[in-house]
Amino acid sequence: MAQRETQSKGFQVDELLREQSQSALQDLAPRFEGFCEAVLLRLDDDSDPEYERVLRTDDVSEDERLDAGLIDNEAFEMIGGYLREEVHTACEGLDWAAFSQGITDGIDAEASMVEVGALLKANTGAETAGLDWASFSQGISDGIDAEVSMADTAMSEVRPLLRAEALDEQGGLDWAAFSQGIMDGIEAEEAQPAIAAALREQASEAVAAREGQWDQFSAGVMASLPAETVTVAELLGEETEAELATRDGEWNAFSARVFEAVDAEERLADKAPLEAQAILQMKSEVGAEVEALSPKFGEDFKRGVEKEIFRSAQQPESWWSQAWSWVQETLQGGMGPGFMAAAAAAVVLIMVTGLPDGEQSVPQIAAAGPSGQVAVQQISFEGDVTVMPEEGVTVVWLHAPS
Amino acid sequence: MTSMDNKEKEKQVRAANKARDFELVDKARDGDRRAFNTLVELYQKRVYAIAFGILRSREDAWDAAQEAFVKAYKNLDRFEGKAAFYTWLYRITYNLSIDHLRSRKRHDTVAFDEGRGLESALDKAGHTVGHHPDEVADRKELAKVLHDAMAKLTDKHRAIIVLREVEGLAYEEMAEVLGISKGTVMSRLFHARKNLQGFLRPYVDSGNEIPESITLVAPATA
Repeated sequence: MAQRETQSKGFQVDELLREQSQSALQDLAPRFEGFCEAVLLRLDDDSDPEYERVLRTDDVSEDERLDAGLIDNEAFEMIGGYLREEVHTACEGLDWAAFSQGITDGIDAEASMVEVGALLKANTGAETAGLDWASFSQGISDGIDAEVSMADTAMSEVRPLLRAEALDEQGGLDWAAFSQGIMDGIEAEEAQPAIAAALREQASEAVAAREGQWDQFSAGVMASLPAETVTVAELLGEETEAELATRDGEWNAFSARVFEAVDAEERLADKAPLEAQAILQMKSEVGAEVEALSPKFGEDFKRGVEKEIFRSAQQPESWWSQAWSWVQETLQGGMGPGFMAAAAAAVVLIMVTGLPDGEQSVPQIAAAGPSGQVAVQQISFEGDVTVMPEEGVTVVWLHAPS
Repeated sequence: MTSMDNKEKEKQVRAANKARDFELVDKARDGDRRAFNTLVELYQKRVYAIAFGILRSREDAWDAAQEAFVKAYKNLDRFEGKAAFYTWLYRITYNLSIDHLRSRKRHDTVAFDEGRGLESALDKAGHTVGHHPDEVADRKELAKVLHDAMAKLTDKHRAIIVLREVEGLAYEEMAEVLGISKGTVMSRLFHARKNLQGFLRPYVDSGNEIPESITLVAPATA
């Protein structure tokens, strides 16, 4: 504590002396400025180092002066004269009272400084006189040692604790899973860049492939956007209206069906391969043929059938026809090959020998009589009777209710 | 209406038609002329269409169709009613048509392409308003090629296509008509189409441009 106070006082004294000196020099400065400049100008003019040394050195001995050849040297005398003259000139303009006062003040200041210094020394001595420097030094050394020891002790105690904690922590860990996790992580890290690179490559290729098509793509997207907002019903409605408009005046039940059929067939034909078109054309040909003969169907066809039925009934069926019908019937009945062979042999036998009498009992409606008029006296029949005069032959249909 | 509903409805209609036909056949067996006439009216066009599709001759087809009904009438007693009447009738028509073809070959007579068939097809192909004359000519040529390709098919192959495409018979019905198994029907139909492709191949290979479509009309039905 005493030491700190002494140092504090010392700083205050130094500060005080510095301020006083600066103040004194500031006061004297303008006077010395002109004096020094004049001296330096003279020195520059002569530029003799030896002169300079002599001029700047006040304590040159007599011997040195002699060795330097300066003694009794006219030049030296002249310079000395100059200097004296210069100094004299300079001093003439001086305020010697102030100068003297300054010197006096300076001396006083120096004296005060000595006093202050003496005071400081006295104080410091008093302060430090009672101090046991050995024990002080020892104390410092001890303090340093204590700090070091404490740090070592702390670290030596903490480290085992940290190790124990780490060991405990490590003991609870599944190192296989931990390692696997690390490996997975590493692989993922390695795989991700590969995947990313592959994706980038694919994307680049896709983009490159579409180079120049993006305008079309955009146009397509834009074109499809309105369609998305239109419902199927609306589209069908529009198409129907357009179709109606193009076929205005053509509509009636018949033409509608015809156009429908034509459109369906045309759509089919559009998609059909060539052989399918051939089949479609065949259908068309058959359809056209049936359509062309349509007026003949009905009465003409039916009469033709009835006439054929009547004629076949009039003519007894030949034994050959009967035999052939029997064989066909037999074949359709799914008989075996042996049976069919026997049947064929029987037919051949019949062909050679002919049927025996009495077995030509083919059902007949009526035997053909002699041409001319036939008078029917009376017919008795219960049921529907239809009489059809046909090309000289009159057919009478009798239908008995079952 | 869904396709399932349509099928169900079609099934019901067929069942009703089958029952109606059986009733008419029973009446015809009993001598009811009007009942048999009704059957003729119901099936005359279809029978003629089958006969014409196979024979490709108006006169032969007309005779065959009438003959089919006569034979049906005479054999009504043999109709057992296991299958539909029309499949039995179509079978008679098919057999008669094949007999006509054999007879025609024996007598070395050619009577193909009588009637309105090809003429109609050519007319339709040419009747394309707004098309360039060259295109119309191409279409006519194609129509002729298609017609000739069908004519080149064997009788059995042409017959099976007629039954399938003109009459729209199911495979089982075709099997009944032709007296063959369902598998044989499918196989024969496949080969018929295959052969048709083969006959048309030269036209395709010769570099002819196939028009987008040829104008066709729906076949007439009874």
